[in-house]
Amino acid sequence: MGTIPVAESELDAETIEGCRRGDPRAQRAVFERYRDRVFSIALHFLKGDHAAAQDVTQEVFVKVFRAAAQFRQDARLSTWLYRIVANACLDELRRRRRVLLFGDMSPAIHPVVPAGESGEPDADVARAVSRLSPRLRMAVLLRYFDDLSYDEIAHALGVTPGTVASRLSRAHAILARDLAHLRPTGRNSQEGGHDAAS
Amino acid sequence: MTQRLDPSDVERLLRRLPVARAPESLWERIQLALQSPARTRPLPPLRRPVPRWLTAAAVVVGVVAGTLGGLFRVYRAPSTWTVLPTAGTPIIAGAALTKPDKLARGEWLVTDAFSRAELSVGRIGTADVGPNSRVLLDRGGLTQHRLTLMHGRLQVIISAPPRLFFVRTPSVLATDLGCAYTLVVDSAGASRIHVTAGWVELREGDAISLVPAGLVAEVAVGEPPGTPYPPEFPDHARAALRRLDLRLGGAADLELVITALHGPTAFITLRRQSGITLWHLLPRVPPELRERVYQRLAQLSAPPAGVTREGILALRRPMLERWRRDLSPMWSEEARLWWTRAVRQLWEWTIN
Repeated sequence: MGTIPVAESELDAETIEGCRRGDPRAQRAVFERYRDRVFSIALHFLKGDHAAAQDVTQEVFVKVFRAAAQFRQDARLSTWLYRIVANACLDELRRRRRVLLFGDMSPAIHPVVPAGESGEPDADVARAVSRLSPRLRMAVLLRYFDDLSYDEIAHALGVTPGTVASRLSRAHAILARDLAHLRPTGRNSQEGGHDAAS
Repeated sequence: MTQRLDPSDVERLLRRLPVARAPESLWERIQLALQSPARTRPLPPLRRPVPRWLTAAAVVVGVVAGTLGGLFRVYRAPSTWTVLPTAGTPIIAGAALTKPDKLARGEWLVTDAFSRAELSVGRIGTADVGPNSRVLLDRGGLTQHRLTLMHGRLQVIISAPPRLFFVRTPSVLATDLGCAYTLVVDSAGASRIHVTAGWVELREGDAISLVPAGLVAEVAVGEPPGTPYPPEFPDHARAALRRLDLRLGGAADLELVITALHGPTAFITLRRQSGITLWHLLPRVPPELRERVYQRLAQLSAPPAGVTREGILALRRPMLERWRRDLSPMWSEEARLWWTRAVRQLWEWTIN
């Protein structure tokens, strides 16, 4: 596992056109470009359930390739794809709720971060994100896994940019509280000294 | 104080969320799934989300349209009304009525000196047809329940919003404003109405009388609707009132009417009923007598806020209406909650 790279540029028009025509090589290129991000979003959203994340990733790409002919060239492929990702994740969550009858999924079926790394800052962040409500969690994942703009997240989630801003703001506030123990130590000591002085 | 991370630290940590590598086997699974028949739902086109204000506006419009549509459905006038003979043998379209039957549009219901019938006014009430009556089920609009009473007697009870039930007589059009009343038409076509609940509007041409519960009004053929008066009014006061209605009366007639009405010491309900009589007289008496009518009306029921002597003497419509509303509010005016009042006024506006 690594950290998230900055957003890549869109696929070239030829690849997108090939995907629209059903060309397997173009489909493979699209898959390679987005596979890890889609899988990671699903994995984090579904609290580390690898099997469910694989199913969602498969469903997303199958839907994208089957409906590629409907894709309008004037829209960004990634925006369209992430809308499908968001819908597929929420559908999976709804399906599980129907099975469980109440509540969210059980926490962290399989940790997103391997067991050996538990207790590390990244693992704490992943756990804190998994505790967010589904709507806030999806907004955070779309924002930080592909650096989507508020407008793009709004399109993906079917809400207004103002709603996206509100959800991200609430998520940040919750995470700032839940991850308070990860404050940089240097700043803590500086503030402690400041407090003592005052 | 609870320690919190800075927003910049939160963003920094979120950007370090671990990316998981998707298994290689996924590509084969996707290829296999693509070869099998589609089981997924069609995808929604990428579109801008509908603004909340538009959704809210659509909901409001839907609720209003649904409510009005529902009211129209409930209050739609049927093309045939049920008739129940209650005494003797009434006649419908020339045929004797011995059991419950239907009166269709354009058909006459006739009773003799020994017969009566009860007519169902759609879903909104009943009309008891008295002896020696001749009633026609008229054509009207979608919600207009309309009868013509050529002569005889109708006793009506309506339980519905205003302006759904109308009775045409040779002398006047009586519009139900949510009420119960008895209407009698003599052989010359003159009408006399006694309202027992709510209001009835009497209209002939541009002339209108508003008759509230407890009052009586008369109309002769070719004359404007008369001023409402208490049922116990003596004959000489009724004659004076008629002269005033026909613009033929003078100060003596006005004094006769004022003397016959309830005075300032009567019960408040009776004073307000008499106030309605005087209110009708304001535009009907000569200008030089209007001051006297105003003074007596103010003694019976003080003008409400915003109503001035000058405005009333100048016959300013809003002030006249405000005073009339204060004397006896109508259906839409008596609602205390603003939204109930708004819905009722919307209904009246729609139905008009």
